[in-house]
Amino acid sequence: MDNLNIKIGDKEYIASFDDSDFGSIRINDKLFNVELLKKYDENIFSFAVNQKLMQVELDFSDDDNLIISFDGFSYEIKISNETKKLLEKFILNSKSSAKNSINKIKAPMPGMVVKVLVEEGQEVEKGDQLIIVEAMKMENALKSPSYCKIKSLKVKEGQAVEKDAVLIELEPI
Amino acid sequence: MFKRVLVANRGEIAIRIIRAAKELGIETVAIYHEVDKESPFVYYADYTYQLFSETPKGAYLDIEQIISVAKKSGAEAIHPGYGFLSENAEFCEAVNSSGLKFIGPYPHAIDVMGNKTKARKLMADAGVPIVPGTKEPISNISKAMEVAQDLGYPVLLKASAGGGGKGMRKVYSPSEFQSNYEAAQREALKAFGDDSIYIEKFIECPKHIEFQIIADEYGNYVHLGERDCSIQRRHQKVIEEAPSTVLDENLRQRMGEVAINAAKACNYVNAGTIEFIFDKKSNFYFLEMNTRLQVEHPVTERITDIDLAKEQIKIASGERLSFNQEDVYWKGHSIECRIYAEDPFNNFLPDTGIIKYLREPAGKGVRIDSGVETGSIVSIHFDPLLAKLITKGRDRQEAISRMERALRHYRIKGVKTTIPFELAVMKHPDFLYGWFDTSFIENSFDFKSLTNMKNEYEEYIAAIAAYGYRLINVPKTTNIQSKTQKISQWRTKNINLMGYY
Repeated sequence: MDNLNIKIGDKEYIASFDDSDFGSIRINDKLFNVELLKKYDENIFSFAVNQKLMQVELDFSDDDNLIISFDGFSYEIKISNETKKLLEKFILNSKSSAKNSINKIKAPMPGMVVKVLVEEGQEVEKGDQLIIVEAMKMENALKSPSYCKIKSLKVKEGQAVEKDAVLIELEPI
Repeated sequence: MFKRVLVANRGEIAIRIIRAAKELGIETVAIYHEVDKESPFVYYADYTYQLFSETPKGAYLDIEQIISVAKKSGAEAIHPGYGFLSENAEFCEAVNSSGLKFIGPYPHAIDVMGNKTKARKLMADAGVPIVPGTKEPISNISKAMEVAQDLGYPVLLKASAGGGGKGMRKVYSPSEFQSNYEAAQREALKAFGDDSIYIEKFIECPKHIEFQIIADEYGNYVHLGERDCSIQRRHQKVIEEAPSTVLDENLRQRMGEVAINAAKACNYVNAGTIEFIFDKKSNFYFLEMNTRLQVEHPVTERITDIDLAKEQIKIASGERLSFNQEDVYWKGHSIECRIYAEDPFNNFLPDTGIIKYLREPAGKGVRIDSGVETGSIVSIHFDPLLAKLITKGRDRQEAISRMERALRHYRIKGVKTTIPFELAVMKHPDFLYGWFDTSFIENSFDFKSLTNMKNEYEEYIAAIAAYGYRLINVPKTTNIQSKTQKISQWRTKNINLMGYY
């Protein structure tokens, strides 16, 4: 098994394996012995990692991305093969970086659009408030990520929106 | 005593009231909106009726429908819980005049205490300390400055027509007064069309101390001591305790008497709470009265051994209080942590989802008032309170270590919760020492401590992630499998692997 690059938040770990011992895993050269002890309903498991008991939820959104919940904390994890990663780096460098800028404002959670503060075609500065979304008594002002132009408004005031619904499309200037 | 009571609420508080009624031998009626059809509270009751409304919240606020269902169900009284219609004088009036009994105070008390100006005046007349300030609005700047000087800085300028913080300004010294006063006037004029301004002394970083009182219909009033609810986010409580670390027996008695006077001033009947703000010099001022059962009532129950929900029902049925002030004692220490579906890493933003796994702590000194179970949907329709975790110890130290233990054993998967934050508070030096105020989260709490807690086992998590990845990727039989196949394969495979590794 190839080494893995495991990214948790902004930290990266290298995981390497022992082909003769499945549960023996090195994280940045520190040895961990992982033992799966128990499975509950859904994707909840109890592991013993170096004999420390850890009850976790493993939520694979796809092969390379997962969320592990442990002790009330949730860890967003991206896993890549070292070889795969080199390839990605190569592709990334060959693309222009301009396309990476954010061009959509999405709802951070399900809720209700309280106020739309901009109009289509309007130019906004980085940090300008664009739209206010309310959920469970809490108002949340979404701000512009950069100096740009409002391409289109996808929602109206008073409209209920799902999580990740596109609210506003932006156009870089 | 009533034979049957309707609970006009949902979630944990509905269950709390149903439990109390059952212990008194009373049958219970639950009402629910469609979205709550699977909620545990519905199934705690003896009878249940569905309410119909366009919005889920609307169902629990529909006075006419609730009263008509109550009559149809054969209930003799309605318990409103907290929130929803609990402090709605119109509802209270409608229940009583329909021949049913509202379990709570009379409409007059709800009405007067629900109005800030009326309540402030009533309290001042009853000799209850209120935050020093002007009774009439002032629009003359030199007179306003004189008043501010008399009150002592810092002062708070408030639009008389105000609300929601608009036209409100803190002024720390005379040199800043004029510009702030004029700005407040402009804001007030713009927001409310009225530029008159009140001046009040600004109480910096106060503690929130509230007193539980209870009264029967025969003029007997008793206070059950205080609760300290200073740990708040967005002006809403998250952690409460009783007794407070800053009151001694003398002060408790004095504040208790004031609380009783406040209740008497509005002819209060049933359980109620007088909230005070409490400054560093132990001055206390009336904030407001909550004319209902509080979310945090269990901490008082734990140290007084009085069941507040049961007392409420007994009083409403016409019984006299079974104890007087001399019978009330406070024994040990109790803490409550409200378990909210909120993300403490992201400004306590509410989270939604399905509770996939739930294991509640138990054991000595642990009480849980919960409204959810495995499979429960946490939606945006209601307040994100999932449960309340209450611990009791012989002293504060024991209550805290018990809370820490219980929080660590509490397992909720599927939604983010406030548990990590509460764990960090239990270890915070200010909290342990006992001097913290309503600015705790803003000023004393360092969210880095949460990140540190999270980082502690990050390498272990990485090892688990690597293990999981290897499980789903190791047998490279084919790469054409779909994602879902792979994931279900991972689920079944790890059972098989368990025997080998």
